[in-house]
Amino acid sequence: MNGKINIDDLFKAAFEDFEAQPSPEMLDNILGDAFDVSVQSSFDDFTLTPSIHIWENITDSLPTEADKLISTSFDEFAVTPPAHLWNNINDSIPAEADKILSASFDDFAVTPPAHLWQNISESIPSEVDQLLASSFNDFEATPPVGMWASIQGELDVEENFDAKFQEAFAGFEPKPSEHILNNLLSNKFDTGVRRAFMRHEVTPQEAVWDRIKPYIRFGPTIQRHLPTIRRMAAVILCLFLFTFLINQYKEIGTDVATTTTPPKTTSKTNINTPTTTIPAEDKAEQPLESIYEGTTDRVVFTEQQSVNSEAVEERVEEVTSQFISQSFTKNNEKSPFNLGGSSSLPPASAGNNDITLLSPTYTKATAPIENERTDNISSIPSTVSGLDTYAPSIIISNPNLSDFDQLEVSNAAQGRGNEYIVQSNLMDIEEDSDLAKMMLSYKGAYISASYSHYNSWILNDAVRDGLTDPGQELIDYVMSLGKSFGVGMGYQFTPNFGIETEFLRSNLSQSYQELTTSVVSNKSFVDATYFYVPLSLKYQVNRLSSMNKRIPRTLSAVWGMHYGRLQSEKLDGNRDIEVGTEDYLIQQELGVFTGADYHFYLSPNVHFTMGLRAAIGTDFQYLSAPFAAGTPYNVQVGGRLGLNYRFATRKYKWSRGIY
Amino acid sequence: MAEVLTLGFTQEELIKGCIAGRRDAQEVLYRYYSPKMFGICLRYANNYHSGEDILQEGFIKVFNNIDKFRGEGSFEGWIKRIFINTAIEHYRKSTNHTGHAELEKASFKQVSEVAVENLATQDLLKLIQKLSPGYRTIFNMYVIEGYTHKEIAGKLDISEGTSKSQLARARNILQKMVKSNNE
Repeated sequence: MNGKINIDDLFKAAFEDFEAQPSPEMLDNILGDAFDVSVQSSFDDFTLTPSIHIWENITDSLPTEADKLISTSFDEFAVTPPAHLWNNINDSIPAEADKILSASFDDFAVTPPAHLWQNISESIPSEVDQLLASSFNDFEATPPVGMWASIQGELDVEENFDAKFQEAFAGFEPKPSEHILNNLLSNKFDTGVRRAFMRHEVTPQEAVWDRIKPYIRFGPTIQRHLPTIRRMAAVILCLFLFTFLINQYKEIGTDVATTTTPPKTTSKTNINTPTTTIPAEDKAEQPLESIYEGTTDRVVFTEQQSVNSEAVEERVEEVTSQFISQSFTKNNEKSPFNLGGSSSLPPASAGNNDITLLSPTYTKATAPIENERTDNISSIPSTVSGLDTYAPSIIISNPNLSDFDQLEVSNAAQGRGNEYIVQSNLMDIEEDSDLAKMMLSYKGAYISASYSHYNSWILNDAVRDGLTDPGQELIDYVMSLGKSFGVGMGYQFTPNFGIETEFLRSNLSQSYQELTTSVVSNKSFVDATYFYVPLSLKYQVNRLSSMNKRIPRTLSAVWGMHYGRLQSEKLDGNRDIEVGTEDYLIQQELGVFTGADYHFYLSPNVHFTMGLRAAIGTDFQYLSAPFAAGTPYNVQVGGRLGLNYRFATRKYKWSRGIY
Repeated sequence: MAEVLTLGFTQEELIKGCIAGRRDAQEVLYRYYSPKMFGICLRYANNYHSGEDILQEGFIKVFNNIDKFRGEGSFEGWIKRIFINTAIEHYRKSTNHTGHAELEKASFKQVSEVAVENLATQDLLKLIQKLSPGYRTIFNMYVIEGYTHKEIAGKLDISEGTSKSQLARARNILQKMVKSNNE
């Protein structure tokens, strides 16, 4: 189709009915000579106005600007006919023509204008766009936990970012992806719901955690180690209990054996003793029962009986006349007595068999009124076997001691007479188990030096508040080590009981870790130096080694109280603690402690100890309510090494009732 | 190698720390699992505050019983079960006052009040929360948690038939609500 309008035709059509009549002068002129001139001149002033409808017709028919644009836009417009049209054409025209026609369209191609494709391509989504869009259908990304905190931290608070942020999301409404909606509205309802909630997460408000915290069990670091401390304490307690029970068992066994043995007094003597009760004092004052175990092959146990003095004298006379003469006439080779002048015992000369040599004092002092035990009676050593009918209650046989010494010691052990001090050359008898027994039977003073290494815990208000108050920084304890050294002194009232005090310089260290939501957390530590004075009561159990009777073994337990005073404090090793915060440290401490030690004897007067200690103390000002919330504590749990020196190099006090 | 959850804690360390009463481990565990569990709580609750109550109660149970976790199965699954049981407990408490008849009385009265144009998870959650407690609990347990009707009947002390019928009604109500909100 040609879009152009033929203006000439239109013009002709407009004048189709137009008729003009010339004037007579004009006709004359035309028909005369002057026709040409007149014709020309007659048209000089000729003007003709066309009728209005003509112009209207023209203007209506004229193409507008838009028409022109449309027209030009179709200049290169071409439409490729659909395939079936050609098929129809092809079917209806002759074959030869088909070929010609077909051939004529072989190279037929219509290229659309460049701008057309651009317009199309800009308005339709690309394949990539579609893929990209569909891949984000289910996309949900939760920001990392610390991100918001980081953002908030970096922003200027004054800008009130939170409010702006919330405002920005005020009208935000997330829309479900198409497939979720389809699933929900289709028969896959359950799947749709399940899928919708598959990754559904809602962060609760911070206040919820604050509400939860008070209801859940919270254990500070020290409490976390309580199971270990309890186990250690249980082991120590079991050891003590076991040792105590064994000792009790042996003691009971000894008593039972003694009481069940028929007394031989009546068969050996004719004395009717008015009272034959066994004094409890004797049992109580035999603290080293275990030592007897190692000496039963040499010692004859007897039970001392209390008698009145008249009965004793009568009995002594009888015994003296009845037995002693026999005894010493049997053993006249060597006298068992070799007394010094200072002794209360009568002097005896060797080889003198005369009974008159025995003074009345001696007979009174040594006259045994006894229920002699029959066990191990055959093991009475040969050196005193001659005294079989006049044997002392407990007979000690030691090849390094003279017979008299042995007898004297035996008497002392029975409680008769005074307490004797035996001078002995320890070097001569150090291979004997008696030395070990002497070590264990020590009574007297000693000095000591000690070193301790322990876990130290400074539990103070600041940390406690931080752990419980959500408004404070969250701080936790980190295990720290402390140490102390000092000197001390003690006194053994009996081989079992004693007291001890020390002067210690202790370093307590405590590390703290600030807990934050970021990986990096701040750490700091406090060093505090205290001066401690502990005072303790000591109970110890003494035994000879069951493997080697020459090795003394002692296990002791201590309980006591300590006083401590803060000497200095440092933060992070070099900084002074800020004024005001030093109150977090205990200034003057009062506490309790307990522990246990194992003693290793190096010589009779030197031994070292290895043991455990646990101590806890608080400030004086908190003593009125030591378990109230907010009370600061210093806690130490650790090991202790000690070196002890006894003031008895060559003198040993022989405990009554031991030998 | 054990998966590090957050702040350098592995799951095993978290559990041990919580058993020992370590506050930092407790907080890390809470912050890691609370969004997931709160989502569950909200599904069973009828509003946000009830959800918080269930969340609080559930975490207290988790921390106080974490030493009973024997390492059999998923830890998250164990926690999830605690929260679902806590939610059921809440439902039981609420029905103590109204009785089981509430299950039967539940109606579709709130559908007309729903005025959401598009359905996102949050919107769906709102619709679920508009269900009556009985419908909501059964629907959650069956459709999302995957409990069987037998298990639901055991836990809620109802018959299997009731569970099935209530589920069908809940599903029907929810579908209607979804449709009405997208028309």
